[in-house]
Amino acid sequence: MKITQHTVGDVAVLTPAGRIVTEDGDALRNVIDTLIQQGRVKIVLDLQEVTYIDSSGLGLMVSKYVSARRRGGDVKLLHPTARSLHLLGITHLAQVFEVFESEADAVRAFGSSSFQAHTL
Amino acid sequence: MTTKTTALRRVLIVDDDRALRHALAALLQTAGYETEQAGDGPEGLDLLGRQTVDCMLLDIGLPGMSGLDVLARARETASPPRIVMMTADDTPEALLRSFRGQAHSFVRKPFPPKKIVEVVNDVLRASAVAALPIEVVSASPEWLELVAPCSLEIAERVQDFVMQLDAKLPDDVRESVAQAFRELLSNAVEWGGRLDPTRTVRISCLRSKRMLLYRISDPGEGFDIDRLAHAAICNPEDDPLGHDRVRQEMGLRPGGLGLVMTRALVDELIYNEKRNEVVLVKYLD
Repeated sequence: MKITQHTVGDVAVLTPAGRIVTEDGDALRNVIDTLIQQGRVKIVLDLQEVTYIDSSGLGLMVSKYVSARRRGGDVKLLHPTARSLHLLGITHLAQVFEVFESEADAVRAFGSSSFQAHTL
Repeated sequence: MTTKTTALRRVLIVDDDRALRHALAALLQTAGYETEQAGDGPEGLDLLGRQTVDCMLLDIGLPGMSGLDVLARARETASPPRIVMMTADDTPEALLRSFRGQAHSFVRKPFPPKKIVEVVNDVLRASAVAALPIEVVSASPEWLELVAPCSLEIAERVQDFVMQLDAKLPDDVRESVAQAFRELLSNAVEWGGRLDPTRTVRISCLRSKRMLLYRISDPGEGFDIDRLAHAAICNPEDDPLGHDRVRQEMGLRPGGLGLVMTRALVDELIYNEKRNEVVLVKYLD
């Protein structure tokens, strides 16, 4: 998996390309873990180049969401495909992740993040 | 960037379409592979006998000796390459005969140029376990039955083949079935088979005009649905992260969403009493 990364203010925007699945998830896990260890806990995950997500991939996203929220940050999703949105819906994770179609909106949303949405 | 690993790999392209052969060779060379070319089966087998080949791209519709015959002969060599079958024939029979012949992968023509590089990358990145033989018990389009070693890589190989049989289904149906099948097969080899390639899963794929039915039987002890607090299927509706807290307490890797996902993607999901055998059904009308 190839992951490109840029920063907007204190928000890290990650764009993974390829599949987020059991076999290929390590790269994304490592990148997010490094960000969180550095205290960079405001993360936008741009899914526009993600071709497939399996349950392990969703599990990875949940795990990193929980880690970021525990440290006062968040993982927000950008440009999910229709398929990704469907998976978020059927796994009830649409209740968890904030989803955006514009990077500017996703970044701006960190200004009004609340830590109260879910019990972690 | 070309890695040292790919730079050392050799790909043999066997196709009677000279222009395609040269185009594929150029793409693969750009990607860092050495390439050899053959215009027919005997020439390809001769090259195989004279030098080490890591991957063979093999057209089925070769003049004279067919690609399927070349596949059988190539598999008998001392150090058989991983073989990717290519064909414009979109009938299930070509795919099933390739699978029975232990082809590693299968690509339908025409394909986007970069796809072949991705396929070769994937095939050669896979471990030796991924190339273990899969027993084909039945290879009719209506009833495919396989016995496969418990490995995630083999599960992916099986899924790739099985889903190509469903290539003519509507996209939404095909994607849902593919995802559900992948989740259940991964569970079977990981939790039932403990990723032990000396153990096997039995996979049946039945197709009728009105439904698809997949049955997966794993060698594990099964599981107790009441003891799956680490799975999202047991989450209260208002607590979609409950399973993740349990998984963290148990030291399990992130996950636990496979069953809840699968249940929503298919029409029927039925387990046997021990829960080491599962049937999924997708109705087509």
